[in-house]
Amino acid sequence: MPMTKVMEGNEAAAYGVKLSRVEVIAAYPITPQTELISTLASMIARGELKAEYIKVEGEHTALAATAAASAAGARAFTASAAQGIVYMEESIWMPPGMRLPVVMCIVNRAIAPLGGLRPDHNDSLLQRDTGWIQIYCENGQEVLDTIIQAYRIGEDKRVYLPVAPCYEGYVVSATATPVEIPDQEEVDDFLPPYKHEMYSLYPENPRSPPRLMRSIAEARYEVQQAMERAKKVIEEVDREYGERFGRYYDGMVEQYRCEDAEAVMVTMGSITGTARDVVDELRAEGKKIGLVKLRVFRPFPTEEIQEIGKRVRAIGFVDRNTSYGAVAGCGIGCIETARALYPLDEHPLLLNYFVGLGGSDVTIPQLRHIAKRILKAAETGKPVKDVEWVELEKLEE
Amino acid sequence: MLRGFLDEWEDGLLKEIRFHGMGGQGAVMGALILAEALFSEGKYSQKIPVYGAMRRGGSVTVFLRIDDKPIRRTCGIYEPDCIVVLDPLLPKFENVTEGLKKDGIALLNNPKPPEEVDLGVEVSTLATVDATGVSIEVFGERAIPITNTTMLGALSRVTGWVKLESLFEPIKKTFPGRIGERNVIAARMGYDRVKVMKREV
Repeated sequence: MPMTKVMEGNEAAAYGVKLSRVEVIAAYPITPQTELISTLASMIARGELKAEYIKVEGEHTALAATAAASAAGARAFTASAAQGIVYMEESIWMPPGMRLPVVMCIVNRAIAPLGGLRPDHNDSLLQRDTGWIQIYCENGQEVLDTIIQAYRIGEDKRVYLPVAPCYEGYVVSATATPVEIPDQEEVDDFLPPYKHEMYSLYPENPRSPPRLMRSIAEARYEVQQAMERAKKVIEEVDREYGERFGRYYDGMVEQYRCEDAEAVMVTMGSITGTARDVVDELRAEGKKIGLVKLRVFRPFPTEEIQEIGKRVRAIGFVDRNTSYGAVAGCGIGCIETARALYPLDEHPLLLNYFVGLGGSDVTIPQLRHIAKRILKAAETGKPVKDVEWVELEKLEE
Repeated sequence: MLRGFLDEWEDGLLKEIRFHGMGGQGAVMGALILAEALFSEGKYSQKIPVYGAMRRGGSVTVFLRIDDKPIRRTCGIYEPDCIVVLDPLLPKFENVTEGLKKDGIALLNNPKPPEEVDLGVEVSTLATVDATGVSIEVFGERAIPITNTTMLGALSRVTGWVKLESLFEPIKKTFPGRIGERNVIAARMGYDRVKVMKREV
């Protein structure tokens, strides 16, 4: 029987790793990821998880060792955050290029300077070009479920790419909520043992995917194609997970109360939970607002965003990141959304809202303000401002 | 069944509690125990830490939400229904009542009866319990008195949002063996000794 208990997001993540029967973990501690890997170390010490824990001297080695273990045929895991991710950068490019389905949790934390211990999305979004699948989780339950899904997605032979389940430090990592732990047997049924058909480090038959390609361009194109194929795999895996375990996250994108919406706000990660309450409140007042949860940022859900773009008058992207000097002063999510909408014959208005930068709290009044501004733009056809730094604005009541 | 001073649990109502403590007093652990106790009663709970410096002696704030349905919002608590202050000196240098709802509850670790306590603002329910005294009685003299379980017992009595007995299992799970039993005694003493003053605001 599945068991439910109150636990923090990091503990939920550790259960996800344990249930996935990960065989090698190489990690270096950093706030706010520490409790995740210390929980895993305890599980191994108690004999609950049969895995090799490699203690390394830094994040660069952590991922190098994880990738090597994956190449050697082990299901491998690591996790990091902020400065750790940046320090890891050289290693981060290895698993996608080598087509290794490792899983790494990015426990989002703002990069210093101009950041503290608390989260924004710049550390993970910085990796958007590297070939990692990125799934943003709203709460501890989704973290646990997503880690199990991540191995199924990455190890699918149509994909063979690394997957990063991303969740915000503190807000998700140290927040305790009731989390259901699925049965090990059912997870075993859902996630068969890891076997890489394109990889062999055995001397009698050595092979690796990039070596099978004629040119680097072809190898890169193959990564791009794998990303495109991953869209379908993510949807399939999530749907099957939902049928087996009762929790379906709508694959790439969740649309919350979008049926007849004239305006939608797009969120990622934990902000979505707060935004649901705000949308409910405004819906009760008769406002036609909807919420789009961008669950997967890589591969980007182009088709889903286009489909929404055809139906609504205004889209507001809530960006918890900065891209200094980027086109029109926009955040990363808004820029991607703009390209998705570009081929449409008729565009909705596209607005951009910066929140929670450097780890500040994203509050109900802020999200209410954003929703009202998007609604106003949908109504009048003219935004108050295209791009807003919400913390610096006088909020609408 | 033990009953609280205030109304019984009202379904469909989100309750938000803010804990203020000093590092080492167990605010985070206390909130987690409460979250587990509430869950064991079939309620939904959510604990969010706002760590100050994560070390003994630094001030620590923790948020706790209770609801009869899953809690989705992840933001901090700015207008609590209840504040729980684990240290008697904290109100002197931290604005613990900030945003407290007009009909809110303030529960303080303070040896004085509520009538003699000046919080600086009017609150409709003011409750005090000498949790430091209980800590010395139950755990002996310590550099930083542990006050969390005493305050939880008092919270159960004052709010009625959680049953006293529901706290015992999570307490014993958190502190195995004799320490757990002592913490159960501390929770009972908090429940028995808390004093409540209500007034119109």
